[in-house]
Amino acid sequence: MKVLVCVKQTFDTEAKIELKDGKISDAGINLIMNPYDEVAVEGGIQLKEKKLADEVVVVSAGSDKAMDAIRTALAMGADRGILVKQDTAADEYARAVALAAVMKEENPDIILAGHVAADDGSSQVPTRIAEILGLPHVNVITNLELADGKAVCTSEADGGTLVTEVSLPAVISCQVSWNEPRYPSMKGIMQAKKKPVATVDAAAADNKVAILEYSLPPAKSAGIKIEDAEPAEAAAKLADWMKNTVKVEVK
Amino acid sequence: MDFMLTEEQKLLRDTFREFCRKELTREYVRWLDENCDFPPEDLIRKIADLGFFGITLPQEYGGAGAGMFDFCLAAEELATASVAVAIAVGLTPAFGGRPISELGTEEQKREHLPKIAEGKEKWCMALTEPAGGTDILGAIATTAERDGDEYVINGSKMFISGAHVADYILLVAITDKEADRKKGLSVFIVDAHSPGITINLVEKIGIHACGTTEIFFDEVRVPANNLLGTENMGWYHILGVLNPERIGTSMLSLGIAKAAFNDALQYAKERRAFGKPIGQFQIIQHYLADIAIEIENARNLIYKCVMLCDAGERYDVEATMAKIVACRASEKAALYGMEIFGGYGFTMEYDIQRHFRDYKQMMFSPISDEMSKNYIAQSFGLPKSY
Repeated sequence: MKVLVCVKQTFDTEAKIELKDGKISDAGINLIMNPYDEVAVEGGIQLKEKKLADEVVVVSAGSDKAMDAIRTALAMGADRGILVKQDTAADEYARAVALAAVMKEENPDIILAGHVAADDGSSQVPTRIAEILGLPHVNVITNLELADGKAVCTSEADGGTLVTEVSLPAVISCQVSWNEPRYPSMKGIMQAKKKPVATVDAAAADNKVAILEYSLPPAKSAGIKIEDAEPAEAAAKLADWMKNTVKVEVK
Repeated sequence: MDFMLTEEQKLLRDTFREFCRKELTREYVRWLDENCDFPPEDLIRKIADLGFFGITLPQEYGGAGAGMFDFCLAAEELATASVAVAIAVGLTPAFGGRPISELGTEEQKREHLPKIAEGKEKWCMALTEPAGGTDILGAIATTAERDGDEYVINGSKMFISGAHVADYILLVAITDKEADRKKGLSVFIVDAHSPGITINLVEKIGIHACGTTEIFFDEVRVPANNLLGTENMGWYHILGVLNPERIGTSMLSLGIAKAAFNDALQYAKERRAFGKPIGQFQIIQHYLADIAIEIENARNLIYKCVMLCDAGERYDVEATMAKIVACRASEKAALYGMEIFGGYGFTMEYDIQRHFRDYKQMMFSPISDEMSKNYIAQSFGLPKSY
């Protein structure tokens, strides 16, 4: 069984986002593997360790910098990597087209991914890949069992747990609570040097979304101090401020 | 010199940096300082899983076969997060892994190196004695007398880091009382749980989470095949251990310096006086710049030693210089850091007090600055001054 894991190179979650010439500046920003994808890589490696999978392949679409994410996954224990060279301005559609083209070639039994990327948070690529390839898709899984050519996926649902059985091949995207990703070990890092990474050009696809403008959220403004009030009166003043000044949405 | 890291080295450094950020948080490191005389086993386990203990060990014995450079990249991250943790986990590679790799018989290597690589054995080194460390050749009195297939050890050792948790002690003892001291010492692998060994913790003001001990040997019997290297050649063997140790301890001082600098810089940005952050005042800026210059100097010198070490060149004089430069950097960072924190620096509320307590151990461990300078001067061909 072949497992293919999609990984994305994202900004460090502690990075300070700044705009330069109307675009997000990546100057001095530390790049990491999307933490959600890290969980998918760990999940893939565990399948191999349990002898349920024979090979774990990592795929990333992006610039040459995405090679770092692939190397990290290889150092964690994945077997080989594929870098799909693509403009980082590609939108979710173009990204999914490029990744799906590779998957058609690779023909994996399971495609794993994080359910969302920590940078744009749009949560689309795994679903789009499944759509393009005509495969079933199970999202936000927290557990995965394999038996008899089927996958039994556990997901969190409102007020309970959803268990989905799906035939393979399938696209399965995960929630972070699935597992605790390992750190690359020293030995893993040394071995990763010898693991093959192929570089391919992205299948051509035009973006469907044009980004018109980036803006940072407004700076946090000062709060208010409610003084010299009885609890009931203070609560009423606070509620009024939240409703009419902050305009908190109440659902 | 090429300080550019390879892709693998970057990944190694980033992995340890991320590990430290997640596992050695400010709160956890403070908890260690206040409650532990050695890092807990679960932390040691996690560091072992990263492959730290086997970085420089040969691949055939379960190590990664990498160089001192790789080891130092990892150690620098650990030492910056917690110098006590860095010392605690550095003891085994320094006093178990390296001596056995270099001096051990095939049998000794097979017995110990795979377990060391997995973090399943803890080591310490017992060299210094109550009568002295600087003048160790004059102070050493512990003896190992041959008795059939065994040696019988009697004596005591002082300021031994980590002996209270160690599985094995790398012991230096006199095996030929009549010979010139340099030609009468031997190195032994001693099971730390042997009958006749008593280990007591020595209370100290800093580096609490890596305890220091005194050890008493009373008729301790050690199998003759636990001799490491050649009998009576121990002094020359141990010099091969002390030079890399000097790089390691310089790295520890560098870690303290970086940690104190980071804390002081953060405080200088946040603390306000006269309507602006104190970091806007020139004297504070100069304090920080002075610390940063010494950190950069120390780091460059340490990595030069590391590169010489990995290339198989001599680096004993440079490593002794690095020891001084790194210690002075940590001293400046701790003292100026305290100044920047003002009154709060003298309270237990902030961590700068820990750096202030910790840096002092590294001033004389493993060698004093004064003795270091004697050694450096000797390398110019000047007469031995001590």
